[in-house]
Amino acid sequence: MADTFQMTSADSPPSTALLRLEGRLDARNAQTLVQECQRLRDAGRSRIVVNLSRVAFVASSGVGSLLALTEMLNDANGKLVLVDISDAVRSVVELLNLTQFLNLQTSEAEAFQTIGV
Amino acid sequence: MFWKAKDRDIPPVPSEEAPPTDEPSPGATKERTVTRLPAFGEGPAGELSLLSMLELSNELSARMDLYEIAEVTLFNLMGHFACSRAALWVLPEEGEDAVLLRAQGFSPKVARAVGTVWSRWLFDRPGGSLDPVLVHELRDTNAPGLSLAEDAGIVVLAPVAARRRRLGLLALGRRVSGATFSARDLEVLAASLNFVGVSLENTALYNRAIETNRGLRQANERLLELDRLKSEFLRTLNHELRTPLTVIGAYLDSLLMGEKEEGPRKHQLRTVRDESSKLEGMLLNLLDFGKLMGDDLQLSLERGDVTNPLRVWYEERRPGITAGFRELQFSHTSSVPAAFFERRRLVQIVDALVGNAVKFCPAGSKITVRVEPETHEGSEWVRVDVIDDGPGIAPDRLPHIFDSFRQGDGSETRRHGGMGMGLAFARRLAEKMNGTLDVRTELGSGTTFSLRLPLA
Repeated sequence: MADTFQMTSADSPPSTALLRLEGRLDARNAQTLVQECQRLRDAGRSRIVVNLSRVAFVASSGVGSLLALTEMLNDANGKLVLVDISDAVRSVVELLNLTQFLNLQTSEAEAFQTIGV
Repeated sequence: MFWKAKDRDIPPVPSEEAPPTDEPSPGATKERTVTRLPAFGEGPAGELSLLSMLELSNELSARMDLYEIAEVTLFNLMGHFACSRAALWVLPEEGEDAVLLRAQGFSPKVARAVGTVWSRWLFDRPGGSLDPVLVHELRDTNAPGLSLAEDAGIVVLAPVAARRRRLGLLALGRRVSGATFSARDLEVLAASLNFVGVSLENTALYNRAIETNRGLRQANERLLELDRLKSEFLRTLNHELRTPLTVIGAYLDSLLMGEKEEGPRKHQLRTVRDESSKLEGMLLNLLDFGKLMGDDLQLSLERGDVTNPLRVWYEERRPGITAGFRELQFSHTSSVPAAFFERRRLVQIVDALVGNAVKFCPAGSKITVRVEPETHEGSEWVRVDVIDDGPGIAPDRLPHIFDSFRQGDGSETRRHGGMGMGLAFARRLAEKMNGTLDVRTELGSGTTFSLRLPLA
Protein backbone atom coordinates (compact mmCIF):
# COMPACT_ATOMS: atom_id res chain seq x y z
CA MET A 1 0.00 0.00 0.00
CA ALA A 2 1.24 3.45 -0.87
CA ASP A 3 2.22 5.79 1.92
CA THR A 4 0.98 8.95 0.23
CA PHE A 5 -2.71 9.68 0.15
CA GLN A 6 -4.72 9.19 -3.01
CA MET A 7 -8.44 9.53 -3.59
CA THR A 8 -10.13 8.26 -6.74
CA SER A 9 -13.75 8.50 -7.71
CA ALA A 10 -15.40 5.50 -9.40
CA ASP A 11 -18.69 5.15 -11.29
CA SER A 12 -21.73 4.70 -9.08
CA PRO A 13 -25.54 4.80 -9.43
CA PRO A 14 -27.36 8.19 -9.42
CA SER A 15 -27.44 10.10 -6.11
CA THR A 16 -24.57 7.97 -4.78
CA ALA A 17 -20.80 8.23 -4.94
CA LEU A 18 -17.94 5.80 -4.62
CA LEU A 19 -14.53 6.97 -3.39
CA ARG A 20 -11.50 4.74 -3.09
CA LEU A 21 -8.78 5.91 -0.72
CA GLU A 22 -5.18 4.81 -0.56
CA GLY A 23 -2.27 5.59 1.75
CA ARG A 24 -2.41 7.49 5.04
CA LEU A 25 -5.58 9.22 6.19
CA ASP A 26 -4.34 11.96 8.49
CA ALA A 27 -4.43 15.70 9.15
CA ARG A 28 -2.87 16.48 5.79
CA ASN A 29 -5.76 15.03 3.83
CA ALA A 30 -8.75 14.81 6.21
CA GLN A 31 -10.02 18.17 4.96
CA THR A 32 -9.57 17.08 1.32
CA LEU A 33 -11.83 14.09 1.94
CA VAL A 34 -14.42 16.20 3.75
CA GLN A 35 -14.43 18.87 1.03
CA GLU A 36 -14.91 16.26 -1.69
CA CYS A 37 -17.84 14.73 0.20
CA GLN A 38 -19.33 18.21 0.76
CA ARG A 39 -19.07 18.80 -2.98
CA LEU A 40 -20.77 15.46 -3.71
CA ARG A 41 -23.51 16.19 -1.15
CA ASP A 42 -24.13 19.63 -2.68
CA ALA A 43 -24.40 17.94 -6.09
CA GLY A 44 -27.17 15.70 -4.71
CA ARG A 45 -24.98 12.65 -4.08
CA SER A 46 -25.37 12.29 -0.35
CA ARG A 47 -25.11 8.48 -0.15
CA ILE A 48 -21.37 7.94 -0.25
CA VAL A 49 -19.41 4.71 -0.16
CA VAL A 50 -15.75 5.01 0.83
CA ASN A 51 -13.46 2.06 0.19
CA LEU A 52 -10.68 1.96 2.79
CA SER A 53 -9.09 -1.38 1.87
CA ARG A 54 -5.87 0.33 0.78
CA VAL A 55 -5.59 2.77 3.67
CA ALA A 56 -2.42 1.82 5.50
CA PHE A 57 -2.78 4.17 8.46
CA VAL A 58 -5.50 6.26 9.99
CA ALA A 59 -4.56 9.02 12.43
CA SER A 60 -6.90 10.77 14.86
CA SER A 61 -7.68 13.45 12.30
CA GLY A 62 -8.63 10.75 9.80
CA VAL A 63 -10.99 9.19 12.33
CA GLY A 64 -12.34 12.66 13.12
CA SER A 65 -13.06 13.29 9.44
CA LEU A 66 -14.99 10.00 9.14
CA LEU A 67 -17.08 10.89 12.20
CA ALA A 68 -17.73 14.40 10.87
CA LEU A 69 -18.75 12.99 7.48
CA THR A 70 -21.12 10.48 9.07
CA GLU A 71 -22.82 13.30 10.98
CA MET A 72 -22.85 15.62 7.95
CA LEU A 73 -24.39 13.05 5.60
CA ASN A 74 -26.96 11.93 8.20
CA ASP A 75 -28.05 15.58 8.47
CA ALA A 76 -28.49 15.63 4.68
CA ASN A 77 -30.62 12.45 4.79
CA GLY A 78 -27.73 10.60 3.25
CA LYS A 79 -25.32 8.02 4.53
CA LEU A 80 -21.62 7.25 4.75
CA VAL A 81 -20.64 3.62 4.32
CA LEU A 82 -17.09 2.43 4.86
CA VAL A 83 -16.04 -0.63 2.92
CA ASP A 84 -13.46 -3.32 3.49
CA ILE A 85 -11.51 -1.50 6.15
CA SER A 86 -7.92 -2.62 6.49
CA ASP A 87 -6.62 -4.20 9.72
CA ALA A 88 -4.89 -0.94 10.53
CA VAL A 89 -8.14 1.00 10.37
CA ARG A 90 -10.11 -1.73 12.14
CA SER A 91 -7.74 -1.62 15.14
CA VAL A 92 -8.47 2.04 15.72
CA VAL A 93 -12.20 1.74 15.02
CA GLU A 94 -12.53 -1.09 17.54
CA LEU A 95 -10.37 0.58 20.15
CA LEU A 96 -12.49 3.72 20.01
CA ASN A 97 -15.72 1.67 20.04
CA LEU A 98 -16.90 3.14 16.77
CA THR A 99 -18.28 -0.05 15.24
CA GLN A 100 -21.86 0.85 16.18
CA PHE A 101 -21.65 4.45 14.97
CA LEU A 102 -19.83 3.89 11.69
CA ASN A 103 -21.53 1.91 8.93
CA LEU A 104 -18.96 -0.78 8.06
CA GLN A 105 -19.45 -3.23 5.19
CA THR A 106 -17.23 -5.88 3.71
CA SER A 107 -17.72 -5.18 -0.01
CA GLU A 108 -18.78 -2.36 -2.29
CA ALA A 109 -21.77 -4.39 -3.51
CA GLU A 110 -22.92 -4.91 0.07
CA ALA A 111 -22.41 -1.20 0.80
CA PHE A 112 -24.62 -0.16 -2.10
CA GLN A 113 -27.28 -2.61 -0.90
CA THR A 114 -27.35 -0.95 2.53
CA ILE A 115 -28.01 2.44 0.93
CA GLY A 116 -30.85 1.03 -1.14
CA VAL A 117 -29.23 0.60 -4.52
CA MET B 1 4.62 3.40 13.69
CA PHE B 2 1.44 1.48 14.30
CA TRP B 3 0.03 -1.05 16.66
CA LYS B 4 -2.93 -3.37 16.89
CA ALA B 5 -5.17 -3.57 19.92
CA LYS B 6 -5.10 -7.37 19.97
CA ASP B 7 -1.29 -7.39 20.25
CA ARG B 8 -1.44 -5.86 23.71
CA ASP B 9 -2.62 -7.29 26.99
CA ILE B 10 -3.24 -4.08 28.88
CA PRO B 11 -6.64 -3.26 30.33
CA PRO B 12 -8.50 -0.45 28.63
CA VAL B 13 -8.62 2.93 30.35
CA PRO B 14 -11.57 3.34 32.73
CA SER B 15 -13.26 6.02 30.64
CA GLU B 16 -14.00 3.45 27.96
CA GLU B 17 -15.66 1.20 30.53
CA ALA B 18 -17.84 3.91 32.04
CA PRO B 19 -21.61 3.68 31.65
CA PRO B 20 -22.86 4.99 28.31
CA THR B 21 -24.11 8.30 29.63
CA ASP B 22 -22.81 11.70 30.56
CA GLU B 23 -25.25 11.93 33.48
CA PRO B 24 -23.76 11.50 36.96
CA SER B 25 -25.01 8.40 38.77
CA PRO B 26 -27.27 9.06 41.79
CA GLY B 27 -25.26 9.97 44.81
CA ALA B 28 -22.04 10.15 42.83
CA THR B 29 -19.50 12.59 44.13
CA LYS B 30 -18.30 15.30 41.78
CA GLU B 31 -14.74 14.92 42.99
CA ARG B 32 -12.61 13.28 40.40
CA THR B 33 -9.80 10.93 41.19
CA VAL B 34 -7.06 9.87 38.84
CA THR B 35 -5.26 7.51 41.17
CA ARG B 36 -6.90 4.42 39.63
CA LEU B 37 -5.93 5.34 36.10
CA PRO B 38 -2.88 3.85 34.40
CA ALA B 39 0.04 6.19 33.77
CA PHE B 40 -0.57 8.46 30.82
CA GLY B 41 0.25 6.81 27.54
CA GLU B 42 -0.02 3.26 28.81
CA GLY B 43 -2.08 0.67 26.99
CA PRO B 44 -3.50 0.87 23.48
CA ALA B 45 -5.86 3.72 24.39
CA GLY B 46 -3.06 5.62 26.09
CA GLU B 47 -0.79 5.10 23.12
CA LEU B 48 -3.53 6.33 20.81
CA SER B 49 -3.84 9.41 23.02
CA LEU B 50 -0.12 10.07 22.75
CA LEU B 51 -0.16 9.59 18.98
CA SER B 52 -3.10 11.98 18.73
CA MET B 53 -1.28 14.66 20.69
CA LEU B 54 1.87 14.14 18.62
CA GLU B 55 -0.15 14.51 15.43
CA LEU B 56 -1.80 17.68 16.73
CA SER B 57 1.50 19.19 17.85
CA ASN B 58 3.25 18.36 14.55
CA GLU B 59 0.43 19.60 12.36
CA LEU B 60 -0.13 22.82 14.28
CA SER B 61 3.54 23.66 14.03
CA ALA B 62 3.18 23.58 10.23
CA ARG B 63 0.08 25.82 10.03
CA MET B 64 -0.09 29.58 9.96
CA ASP B 65 -3.74 30.09 9.05
CA LEU B 66 -6.51 30.34 11.65
CA TYR B 67 -8.98 28.31 9.62
CA GLU B 68 -6.48 25.55 8.91
CA ILE B 69 -5.63 25.46 12.60
CA ALA B 70 -9.33 25.08 13.37
CA GLU B 71 -9.71 22.22 10.89
CA VAL B 72 -6.65 20.37 12.17
CA THR B 73 -7.74 20.87 15.78
CA LEU B 74 -11.32 19.77 15.34
CA PHE B 75 -10.61 16.65 13.28
CA ASN B 76 -7.81 15.65 15.64
CA LEU B 77 -9.86 16.07 18.82
CA MET B 78 -12.94 14.45 17.28
CA GLY B 79 -10.85 11.41 16.39
CA HIS B 80 -9.02 11.48 19.71
CA PHE B 81 -12.18 11.52 21.82
CA ALA B 82 -14.52 9.85 19.30
CA CYS B 83 -16.93 12.78 19.02
CA SER B 84 -18.94 13.50 15.88
CA ARG B 85 -19.51 17.15 16.80
CA ALA B 86 -17.05 19.89 17.67
CA ALA B 87 -16.58 23.63 17.22
CA LEU B 88 -13.79 26.16 17.71
CA TRP B 89 -14.13 29.92 18.23
CA VAL B 90 -11.53 32.69 18.57
CA LEU B 91 -11.81 35.82 20.70
CA PRO B 92 -10.69 38.83 18.64
CA GLU B 93 -10.13 41.32 21.45
CA GLU B 94 -10.98 41.70 25.11
CA GLY B 95 -14.72 42.20 25.48
CA GLU B 96 -15.58 41.33 21.85
CA ASP B 97 -17.88 38.46 20.91
CA ALA B 98 -16.33 35.12 19.99
CA VAL B 99 -15.93 34.48 16.25
CA LEU B 100 -16.78 30.98 15.05
CA LEU B 101 -13.91 29.53 13.02
CA ARG B 102 -15.27 26.07 12.23
CA ALA B 103 -18.16 23.88 13.41
CA GLN B 104 -18.52 20.18 12.67
CA GLY B 105 -21.95 18.68 13.32
CA PHE B 106 -23.34 21.84 14.96
CA SER B 107 -25.43 24.32 12.98
CA PRO B 108 -23.37 27.52 12.51
CA LYS B 109 -26.27 29.62 13.83
CA VAL B 110 -26.44 27.69 17.11
CA ALA B 111 -22.65 27.58 17.35
CA ARG B 112 -22.42 31.38 17.03
CA ALA B 113 -24.94 31.82 19.84
CA VAL B 114 -23.08 29.36 22.07
CA GLY B 115 -19.78 31.17 21.46
CA THR B 116 -21.24 34.53 22.40
CA VAL B 117 -22.81 33.29 25.64
CA TRP B 118 -20.08 30.98 26.85
CA SER B 119 -16.88 32.80 25.97
CA ARG B 120 -17.23 35.26 28.84
CA TRP B 121 -18.37 32.75 31.43
CA LEU B 122 -15.53 30.31 30.70
CA PHE B 123 -12.87 32.93 31.31
CA ASP B 124 -14.53 34.73 34.19
CA ARG B 125 -15.00 31.80 36.57
CA PRO B 126 -14.21 32.32 40.24
CA GLY B 127 -10.58 31.43 40.88
CA GLY B 128 -9.65 32.08 37.25
CA SER B 129 -9.74 28.38 36.31
CA LEU B 130 -8.99 27.61 32.67
CA ASP B 131 -9.95 23.92 32.96
CA PRO B 132 -12.42 22.36 30.55
CA VAL B 133 -15.91 21.89 32.01
CA LEU B 134 -18.51 19.17 31.64
CA VAL B 135 -21.76 20.90 30.79
CA HIS B 136 -23.96 18.56 32.85
CA GLU B 137 -21.94 19.39 35.98
CA LEU B 138 -23.02 23.02 35.69
CA ARG B 139 -26.73 22.35 36.12
CA ASP B 140 -26.85 23.59 39.71
CA THR B 141 -24.74 26.66 38.96
CA ASN B 142 -25.69 30.04 37.51
CA ALA B 143 -23.87 29.38 34.25
CA PRO B 144 -25.73 31.15 31.43
CA GLY B 145 -26.93 29.45 28.26
CA LEU B 146 -26.94 26.01 29.83
CA SER B 147 -30.01 24.85 27.91
CA LEU B 148 -28.53 26.32 24.72
CA ALA B 149 -25.41 24.17 25.12
CA GLU B 150 -27.32 21.05 26.20
CA ASP B 151 -29.88 21.36 23.40
CA ALA B 152 -27.01 21.65 20.91
CA GLY B 153 -25.57 18.40 22.28
CA ILE B 154 -22.45 20.00 23.75
CA VAL B 155 -20.87 17.89 26.48
CA VAL B 156 -17.55 19.66 27.06
CA LEU B 157 -16.65 23.35 26.83
CA ALA B 158 -13.04 24.42 27.16
CA PRO B 159 -11.21 27.74 27.06
CA VAL B 160 -8.20 28.15 24.76
CA ALA B 161 -5.48 30.37 26.19
CA ALA B 162 -1.75 31.05 25.98
CA ARG B 163 0.08 32.58 28.94
CA ARG B 164 -3.38 33.06 30.47
CA ARG B 165 -4.37 35.32 27.58
CA ARG B 166 -7.88 34.43 26.42
CA LEU B 167 -7.76 33.32 22.78
CA GLY B 168 -10.75 31.12 22.07
CA LEU B 169 -12.98 28.28 23.15
CA LEU B 170 -13.77 24.76 22.06
CA ALA B 171 -16.89 22.62 22.32
CA LEU B 172 -17.11 18.86 21.98
CA GLY B 173 -20.30 16.85 21.55
CA ARG B 174 -21.19 13.48 23.02
CA ARG B 175 -18.74 10.62 22.45
CA VAL B 176 -20.26 8.30 19.87
CA SER B 177 -18.99 5.27 21.79
CA GLY B 178 -21.23 6.31 24.69
CA ALA B 179 -18.25 6.69 27.04
CA THR B 180 -18.00 9.62 29.41
CA PHE B 181 -15.13 12.07 29.63
CA SER B 182 -12.90 11.04 32.53
CA ALA B 183 -10.74 13.41 34.58
CA ARG B 184 -7.76 12.16 32.58
CA ASP B 185 -9.55 12.87 29.30
CA LEU B 186 -10.13 16.45 30.41
CA GLU B 187 -6.47 16.80 31.39
CA VAL B 188 -5.41 15.48 28.00
CA LEU B 189 -7.88 17.83 26.30
CA ALA B 190 -6.49 20.81 28.25
CA ALA B 191 -2.94 19.82 27.27
CA SER B 192 -3.96 19.54 23.61
CA LEU B 193 -5.60 22.95 23.79
CA ASN B 194 -2.36 24.41 25.12
CA PHE B 195 -0.79 23.49 21.77
CA VAL B 196 -3.74 25.13 20.04
CA GLY B 197 -3.41 28.29 22.17
CA VAL B 198 0.27 28.73 21.33
CA SER B 199 -0.46 28.10 17.67
CA LEU B 200 -3.30 30.65 17.60
CA GLU B 201 -1.12 33.25 19.27
CA ASN B 202 1.83 32.63 16.94
CA THR B 203 -0.47 32.82 13.93
CA ALA B 204 -1.99 36.10 15.09
CA LEU B 205 1.49 37.59 15.49
CA TYR B 206 2.62 36.22 12.12
CA ASN B 207 -0.48 37.51 10.34
CA ARG B 208 -0.08 40.94 11.88
CA ALA B 209 3.58 41.07 10.81
CA ILE B 210 2.74 40.06 7.23
CA GLU B 211 -0.08 42.61 7.07
CA THR B 212 2.10 45.36 8.47
CA ASN B 213 4.77 44.63 5.86
CA ARG B 214 2.18 44.64 3.11
CA GLY B 215 0.75 47.92 4.36
CA LEU B 216 4.20 49.51 4.49
CA ARG B 217 5.03 48.33 0.99
CA GLN B 218 1.73 49.64 -0.36
CA ALA B 219 2.23 52.95 1.44
CA ASN B 220 5.66 53.19 -0.13
CA GLU B 221 4.24 52.43 -3.59
CA ARG B 222 1.57 55.09 -3.08
CA LEU B 223 4.20 57.61 -2.05
CA LEU B 224 6.26 56.84 -5.15
CA GLU B 225 3.18 57.17 -7.35
CA LEU B 226 2.21 60.44 -5.69
CA ASP B 227 5.71 61.72 -6.21
CA ARG B 228 5.55 60.84 -9.87
CA LEU B 229 2.14 62.51 -10.22
CA LYS B 230 3.40 65.59 -8.49
CA SER B 231 6.40 65.87 -10.79
CA GLU B 232 4.26 65.36 -13.86
CA PHE B 233 1.75 67.92 -12.71
CA LEU B 234 4.40 70.51 -12.00
CA ARG B 235 6.08 69.89 -15.32
CA THR B 236 3.06 70.00 -17.63
CA LEU B 237 0.50 72.21 -15.95
CA ASN B 238 2.46 74.69 -13.95
CA HIS B 239 2.41 77.35 -16.59
CA GLU B 240 -1.13 76.89 -17.95
CA LEU B 241 -3.02 76.80 -14.68
CA ARG B 242 -0.90 77.83 -11.78
CA THR B 243 0.86 80.78 -13.37
CA PRO B 244 -2.33 82.84 -13.82
CA LEU B 245 -3.28 82.11 -10.23
CA THR B 246 0.17 83.11 -9.09
CA VAL B 247 -0.11 86.37 -11.01
CA ILE B 248 -3.54 87.05 -9.49
CA GLY B 249 -2.13 86.26 -6.06
CA ALA B 250 0.83 88.61 -6.60
CA TYR B 251 -1.40 91.51 -7.62
CA LEU B 252 -3.68 90.89 -4.69
CA ASP B 253 -0.66 90.91 -2.37
CA SER B 254 0.43 94.17 -3.92
CA LEU B 255 -3.03 95.71 -3.42
CA LEU B 256 -3.07 94.43 0.16
CA MET B 257 0.29 96.01 0.89
CA GLY B 258 -0.91 99.28 -0.59
CA GLU B 259 -3.92 99.29 1.69
CA LYS B 260 -2.49 100.99 4.78
CA GLU B 261 -5.51 101.04 7.03
CA GLU B 262 -7.38 98.10 8.40
CA GLY B 263 -10.95 98.32 7.20
CA PRO B 264 -13.64 96.66 5.05
CA ARG B 265 -11.65 97.06 1.84
CA LYS B 266 -8.53 95.39 3.24
CA HIS B 267 -10.70 92.63 4.72
CA GLN B 268 -12.31 92.02 1.31
CA LEU B 269 -8.93 91.93 -0.45
CA ARG B 270 -7.60 89.47 2.13
CA THR B 271 -10.65 87.25 1.62
CA VAL B 272 -10.13 87.25 -2.15
CA ARG B 273 -6.46 86.44 -1.60
CA ASP B 274 -7.33 83.50 0.72
CA GLU B 275 -9.92 82.14 -1.69
CA SER B 276 -7.43 82.38 -4.53
CA SER B 277 -5.00 80.27 -2.50
CA LYS B 278 -7.74 77.72 -1.79
CA LEU B 279 -8.54 77.56 -5.49
CA GLU B 280 -4.92 76.78 -6.19
CA GLY B 281 -5.03 73.93 -3.63
CA MET B 282 -8.24 72.50 -5.07
CA LEU B 283 -6.75 72.62 -8.54
CA LEU B 284 -3.90 70.46 -7.35
CA ASN B 285 -6.27 67.88 -5.88
CA LEU B 286 -8.45 67.74 -8.97
CA LEU B 287 -5.49 67.16 -11.23
CA ASP B 288 -4.28 64.32 -9.04
CA PHE B 289 -7.70 62.72 -9.15
CA GLY B 290 -7.86 63.05 -12.92
CA LYS B 291 -4.68 61.01 -13.09
CA LEU B 292 -5.98 58.47 -10.63
CA MET B 293 -9.19 58.04 -12.60
CA GLY B 294 -7.07 56.82 -15.43
CA ASP B 295 -8.09 59.28 -18.08
CA ASP B 296 -4.65 58.97 -19.58
CA LEU B 297 -3.78 55.51 -18.29
CA GLN B 298 -2.03 53.38 -20.86
CA LEU B 299 -2.57 49.68 -20.16
CA SER B 300 -0.48 46.98 -21.81
CA LEU B 301 -2.83 44.02 -22.09
CA GLU B 302 -1.33 40.53 -22.26
CA ARG B 303 -2.76 37.12 -22.97
CA GLY B 304 -2.68 34.85 -19.90
CA ASP B 305 -4.28 32.83 -17.14
CA VAL B 306 -5.82 35.17 -14.55
CA THR B 307 -5.47 32.56 -11.81
CA ASN B 308 -1.67 32.91 -11.74
CA PRO B 309 -1.42 36.52 -10.51
CA LEU B 310 -4.53 36.05 -8.37
CA ARG B 311 -3.01 33.06 -6.57
CA VAL B 312 0.14 35.05 -5.79
CA TRP B 313 -2.03 37.93 -4.56
CA TYR B 314 -4.19 35.53 -2.47
CA GLU B 315 -1.21 34.00 -0.68
CA GLU B 316 0.01 37.45 0.23
CA ARG B 317 -3.36 38.95 1.15
CA ARG B 318 -4.83 36.07 3.20
CA PRO B 319 -2.79 36.51 6.41
CA GLY B 320 -3.90 40.12 6.81
CA ILE B 321 -7.55 39.31 6.26
CA THR B 322 -7.37 36.33 8.60
CA ALA B 323 -5.74 38.59 11.19
CA GLY B 324 -9.00 40.55 11.11
CA PHE B 325 -10.92 37.28 11.70
CA ARG B 326 -12.40 37.13 8.23
CA GLU B 327 -11.92 34.09 6.02
CA LEU B 328 -10.56 34.55 2.49
CA GLN B 329 -10.92 31.70 -0.01
CA PHE B 330 -9.72 31.41 -3.59
CA SER B 331 -11.10 28.88 -6.06
CA HIS B 332 -11.34 28.35 -9.80
CA THR B 333 -12.66 25.79 -12.24
CA SER B 334 -10.24 23.08 -13.36
CA SER B 335 -9.54 24.89 -16.63
CA VAL B 336 -9.70 28.63 -17.10
CA PRO B 337 -9.28 29.93 -20.67
CA ALA B 338 -6.72 32.64 -21.38
CA ALA B 339 -7.93 36.24 -21.17
CA PHE B 340 -6.57 39.66 -22.13
CA PHE B 341 -5.64 41.72 -19.11
CA GLU B 342 -2.88 43.62 -17.34
CA ARG B 343 -1.63 41.69 -14.33
CA ARG B 344 -1.09 44.69 -12.09
CA ARG B 345 -4.46 46.23 -12.84
CA LEU B 346 -6.33 42.92 -12.42
CA VAL B 347 -4.80 42.49 -8.98
CA GLN B 348 -5.56 46.14 -8.19
CA ILE B 349 -9.27 45.62 -9.00
CA VAL B 350 -9.62 42.39 -7.00
CA ASP B 351 -7.71 43.91 -4.09
CA ALA B 352 -10.03 46.94 -4.10
CA LEU B 353 -13.13 44.71 -4.19
CA VAL B 354 -11.85 42.49 -1.37
CA GLY B 355 -10.77 45.56 0.59
CA ASN B 356 -14.29 46.90 0.19
CA ALA B 357 -15.76 43.60 1.45
CA VAL B 358 -13.43 43.62 4.46
CA LYS B 359 -14.55 47.17 5.31
CA PHE B 360 -18.24 46.35 5.31
CA CYS B 361 -18.34 42.73 6.59
CA PRO B 362 -18.09 42.01 10.32
CA ALA B 363 -15.56 39.63 11.89
CA GLY B 364 -16.46 35.99 11.18
CA SER B 365 -17.47 36.76 7.58
CA LYS B 366 -16.26 34.82 4.58
CA ILE B 367 -14.95 36.40 1.38
CA THR B 368 -14.45 34.19 -1.66
CA VAL B 369 -12.64 35.00 -4.89
CA ARG B 370 -13.81 32.59 -7.58
CA VAL B 371 -12.75 32.36 -11.22
CA GLU B 372 -14.72 30.62 -13.96
CA PRO B 373 -15.39 30.89 -17.70
CA GLU B 374 -18.75 32.30 -18.74
CA THR B 375 -20.90 33.09 -21.77
CA HIS B 376 -22.57 36.41 -21.04
CA GLU B 377 -24.69 38.45 -23.43
CA GLY B 378 -23.42 36.40 -26.36
CA SER B 379 -19.72 36.81 -25.59
CA GLU B 380 -17.13 34.57 -23.97
CA TRP B 381 -15.54 35.87 -20.78
CA VAL B 382 -13.46 34.89 -17.81
CA ARG B 383 -15.43 35.97 -14.76
CA VAL B 384 -13.80 36.81 -11.43
CA ASP B 385 -16.35 36.96 -8.61
CA VAL B 386 -15.66 38.52 -5.23
CA ILE B 387 -18.37 37.11 -2.98
CA ASP B 388 -19.03 38.06 0.63
CA ASP B 389 -21.65 36.97 3.15
CA GLY B 390 -21.87 40.41 4.74
CA PRO B 391 -24.80 42.78 5.27
CA GLY B 392 -25.42 43.51 1.56
CA ILE B 393 -26.08 46.91 -0.02
CA ALA B 394 -29.37 48.76 0.45
CA PRO B 395 -31.37 48.99 -2.83
CA ASP B 396 -31.50 52.79 -2.80
CA ARG B 397 -27.70 53.00 -2.57
CA LEU B 398 -26.92 50.29 -5.11
CA PRO B 399 -27.15 52.57 -8.20
CA HIS B 400 -24.53 54.92 -6.73
CA ILE B 401 -21.85 52.58 -5.45
CA PHE B 402 -19.66 53.03 -8.54
CA ASP B 403 -19.88 56.82 -8.25
CA SER B 404 -16.72 58.63 -7.24
CA PHE B 405 -16.59 59.86 -3.63
CA ARG B 406 -19.62 57.74 -2.63
CA GLN B 407 -19.39 54.84 -0.19
CA GLY B 408 -22.71 53.39 0.94
CA ASP B 409 -23.88 56.60 2.54
CA GLY B 410 -22.20 59.52 4.23
CA SER B 411 -22.23 57.84 7.61
CA GLU B 412 -20.60 54.71 6.22
CA THR B 413 -17.92 56.87 4.58
CA ARG B 414 -17.17 58.41 7.92
CA ARG B 415 -17.19 55.09 9.76
CA HIS B 416 -15.09 53.16 7.25
CA GLY B 417 -12.81 55.93 6.06
CA GLY B 418 -11.37 56.40 2.59
CA MET B 419 -12.53 58.71 -0.18
CA GLY B 420 -14.94 56.32 -1.87
CA MET B 421 -12.79 56.22 -5.00
CA GLY B 422 -12.04 52.45 -4.88
CA LEU B 423 -15.07 51.08 -6.70
CA ALA B 424 -15.22 53.91 -9.24
CA PHE B 425 -11.57 53.38 -10.08
CA ALA B 426 -12.02 49.58 -10.20
CA ARG B 427 -14.81 49.88 -12.76
CA ARG B 428 -12.77 52.37 -14.79
CA LEU B 429 -9.84 49.92 -14.86
CA ALA B 430 -12.15 47.03 -15.86
CA GLU B 431 -13.42 49.11 -18.80
CA LYS B 432 -9.85 49.99 -19.76
CA MET B 433 -9.24 46.25 -20.11
CA ASN B 434 -12.37 45.96 -22.32
CA GLY B 435 -14.16 44.24 -19.45
CA THR B 436 -17.05 45.02 -17.15
CA LEU B 437 -17.58 45.25 -13.42
CA ASP B 438 -21.06 44.58 -12.00
CA VAL B 439 -22.59 43.95 -8.64
CA ARG B 440 -25.52 42.01 -7.28
CA THR B 441 -26.53 42.00 -3.66
CA GLU B 442 -29.14 40.80 -1.23
CA LEU B 443 -29.70 42.72 1.96
CA GLY B 444 -28.68 40.56 4.90
CA SER B 445 -27.16 37.80 2.74
CA GLY B 446 -24.15 39.28 0.98
CA THR B 447 -22.77 40.89 -2.13
CA THR B 448 -21.08 39.58 -5.28
CA PHE B 449 -18.96 41.77 -7.53
CA SER B 450 -18.33 40.23 -10.98
CA LEU B 451 -15.39 41.31 -13.09
CA ARG B 452 -15.63 40.06 -16.67
CA LEU B 453 -12.54 39.99 -18.87
CA PRO B 454 -12.64 39.16 -22.61
CA LEU B 455 -11.05 35.91 -23.77
CA ALA B 456 -7.77 36.14 -25.63
